[in-house]
Amino acid sequence: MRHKAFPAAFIISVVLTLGSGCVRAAQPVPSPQLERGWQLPGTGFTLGGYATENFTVKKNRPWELSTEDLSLFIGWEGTGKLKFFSELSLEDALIFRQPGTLTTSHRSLAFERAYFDYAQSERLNFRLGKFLTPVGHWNLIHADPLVWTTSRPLITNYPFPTYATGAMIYGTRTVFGKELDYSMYASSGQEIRGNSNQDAFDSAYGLHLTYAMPRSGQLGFSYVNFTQKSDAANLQNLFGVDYLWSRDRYELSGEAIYRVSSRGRAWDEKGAFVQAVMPLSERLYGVGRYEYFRQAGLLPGVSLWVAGLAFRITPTSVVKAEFVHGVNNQINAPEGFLSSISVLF
Amino acid sequence: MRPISLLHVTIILLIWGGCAISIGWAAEEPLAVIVQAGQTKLNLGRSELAAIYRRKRNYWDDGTKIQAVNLPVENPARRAFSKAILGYAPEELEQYWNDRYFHGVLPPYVLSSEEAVLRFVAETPGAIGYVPYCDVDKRVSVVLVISAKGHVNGSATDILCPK
Repeated sequence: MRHKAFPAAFIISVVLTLGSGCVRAAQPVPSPQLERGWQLPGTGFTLGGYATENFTVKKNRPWELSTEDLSLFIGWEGTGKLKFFSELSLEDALIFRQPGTLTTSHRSLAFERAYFDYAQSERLNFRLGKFLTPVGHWNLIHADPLVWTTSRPLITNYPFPTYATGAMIYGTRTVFGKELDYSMYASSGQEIRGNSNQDAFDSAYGLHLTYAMPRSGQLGFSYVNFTQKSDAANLQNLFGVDYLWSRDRYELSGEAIYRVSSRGRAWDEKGAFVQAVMPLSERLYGVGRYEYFRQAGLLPGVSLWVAGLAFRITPTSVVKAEFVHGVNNQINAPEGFLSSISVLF
Repeated sequence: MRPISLLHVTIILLIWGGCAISIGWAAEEPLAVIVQAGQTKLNLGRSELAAIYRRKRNYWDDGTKIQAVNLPVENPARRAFSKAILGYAPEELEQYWNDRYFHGVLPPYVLSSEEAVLRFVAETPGAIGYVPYCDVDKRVSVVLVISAKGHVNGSATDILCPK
């Protein structure tokens, strides 16, 4: 992958260097009070990111303190219709484990995202590059400071590759007086510095819709037809629905997926989760989640119960702690005590 | 019990008046949504304005980039605008902006005062902002009026501004 990354980075650098000259320096620039990210004055560039430190005591495993994620965002937006966004992520950079061993051998550096957007209008935008696979809601906002638990529901990353490299069209339309966000995408399986832990798409065609419901809710639908690198002959069709409601600091969300395999029913995967969040004080929240997931193969489905707390230090930083209890957990999904502190910057 | 004297009433009125002056905006005063002077042919309603301030809509019909500006979170006009147009107080939108920021979308610029908004909108093609109705002058055009009750109108009637 390393040899493919260099030409991509070179092209990106050239386009950005040329593009940054198009920023109208003569235009009056306000003195903004930025709430997130750091904008380099007069260039159109924004730098930001997030970091997460985990402390976990998983069932039947030693305790572990790890620098789970260190992500850097680089965005560029001029006065025209072209913009760029990338996320470079360093995962598991440092792990300190019982009885006192320190290791950096699990670290991995990957481009989680790197894409150009061209905005024809708010109804029609074009994206080219590596982007998050638009399946469900969680995968699209999976950064630790944005979610309520340290653990991630299995159905949000087990049944499909969470990144795709290819082309997408997306936009927002008004339907029955409410916003409908859509995205349609295709991937030929090329990767820009991929994550070695992930079985990437060999090819994929997908659609994602999100409709703004009355009373602060939104309903989503996902579909992907895909094959993966490890088994390109196994054609899979994934269907998903997701729901999110939030009001007055309460939140209710859920997702469900069903993945149909061309190899037969034993290779199908299915699952769902429902999560509730309620405020306990000005900054403290209680979180509860139930998840069911049945992986491809002959093992029975696993149920995971999560009960936790999240303390919002600021709107962009959070401390989380939770207990995860599994039933029929023969796929070794993480159980036990999980905690983290994460900051979006 | 001592009766309330004229002095007491005067002190109370002075304190009340001082507060009203210090926040720069009275709750019963409408807000004016403003653009650069002369740009009045904009097809704007509440939903279009909401899409602009949630940065879902980023271009005017002629292709010019929309440069939306906000007042600071603690400004009463910002709070009234946010509730009337977006349906939430600014702090309730923190999660929304965190999510959008994760996708490289930044919230509208925040300018420190009503005068800063007027100047920026007057000098920047494609800019849009809001200020208390009586702060508007000839440097900008009013495209919408938001009443104290949150109703959105194309124009203002029966509004008397102190001279």
